[in-house]
Amino acid sequence: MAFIMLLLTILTFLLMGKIYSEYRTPLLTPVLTTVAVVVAVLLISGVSYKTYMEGAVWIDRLLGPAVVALAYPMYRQRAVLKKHFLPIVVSVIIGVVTAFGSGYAMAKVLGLERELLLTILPKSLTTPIAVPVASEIGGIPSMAVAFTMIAGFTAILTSPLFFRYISFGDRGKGIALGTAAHGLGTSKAVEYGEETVSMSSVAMSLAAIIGSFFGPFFVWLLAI
Amino acid sequence: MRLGGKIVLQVAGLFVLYYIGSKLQEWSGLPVPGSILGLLLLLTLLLTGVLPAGWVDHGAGFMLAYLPLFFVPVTVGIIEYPVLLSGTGIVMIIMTITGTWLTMFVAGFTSEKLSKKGGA
Repeated sequence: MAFIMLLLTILTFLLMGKIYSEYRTPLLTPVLTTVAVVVAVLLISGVSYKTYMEGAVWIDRLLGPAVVALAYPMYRQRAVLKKHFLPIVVSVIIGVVTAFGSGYAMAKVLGLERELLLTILPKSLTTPIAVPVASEIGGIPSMAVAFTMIAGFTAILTSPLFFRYISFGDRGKGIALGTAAHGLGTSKAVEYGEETVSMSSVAMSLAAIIGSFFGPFFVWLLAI
Repeated sequence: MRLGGKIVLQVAGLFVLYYIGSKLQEWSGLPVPGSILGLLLLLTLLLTGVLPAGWVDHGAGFMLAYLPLFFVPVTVGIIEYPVLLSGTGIVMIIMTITGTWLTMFVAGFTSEKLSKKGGA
């Protein structure tokens, strides 16, 4: 059974990747569709998540080394970052603080329980970073992915309207998308031009690094 | 074939860096995930030129091409949290949307202000 689940995950992902490259709409993002298929299969067949993970853990183990691999694209972005170092770094830091701070403030006002608060805090970070950060600070990693996706889709679906009322230049748009909505936001940046894409990619990388340090610090500082 | 060998070797290198990052976390007691310490270690090695980019490019490219697959298992875990479909889940979704807008606004606004001041 474990092996079947491993195979199911890989084959579904490859198939969904094919479908995505055919239609190219963000709603068909392979993670989203693959998870939907796997969850449906588990629910219909009655196989538990624990049993599923006995096979899928082999895929899960690759996440750590893949996070390390993110250093390579970051290294290649160094020229863009160097060129506008201070404005980018300051904007992203303030953005990350806003993301965590606003999440915390809203959760407190609305009386959200602690574990759920810790789950939504990393939502602005890129998914592979949000997962270990959520588990580090005591949130629920699987749910954290869901909220990370929701943050990304918020940017994809609402940024045209958002930028109509709040007119940022190409750089501002990129910083906004990359800091608040990681890779999904960056995929939307393509529609706003090259400058926006490169700014969004750099902002996403910086936010990931800053967030992975700031997140645990924030939780400790406020004794959440 | 030679490319395949290169990828395997470089991916093995990424595993080693991940392992070092995890040990570093254990040893230092830092509350930062080991994978991220591994990332910073690799980034430092690349930026200082200790490690030529040609030693990781193919392995990293391979891992990043399949990156979304690697967080499928953890995401499937939402099956154990039906709270996502409850009233609380909806509140959390609204919080996420609001927080995203706010972050977009503040980050973008700061960048606009700083760009104008810098004149570049």
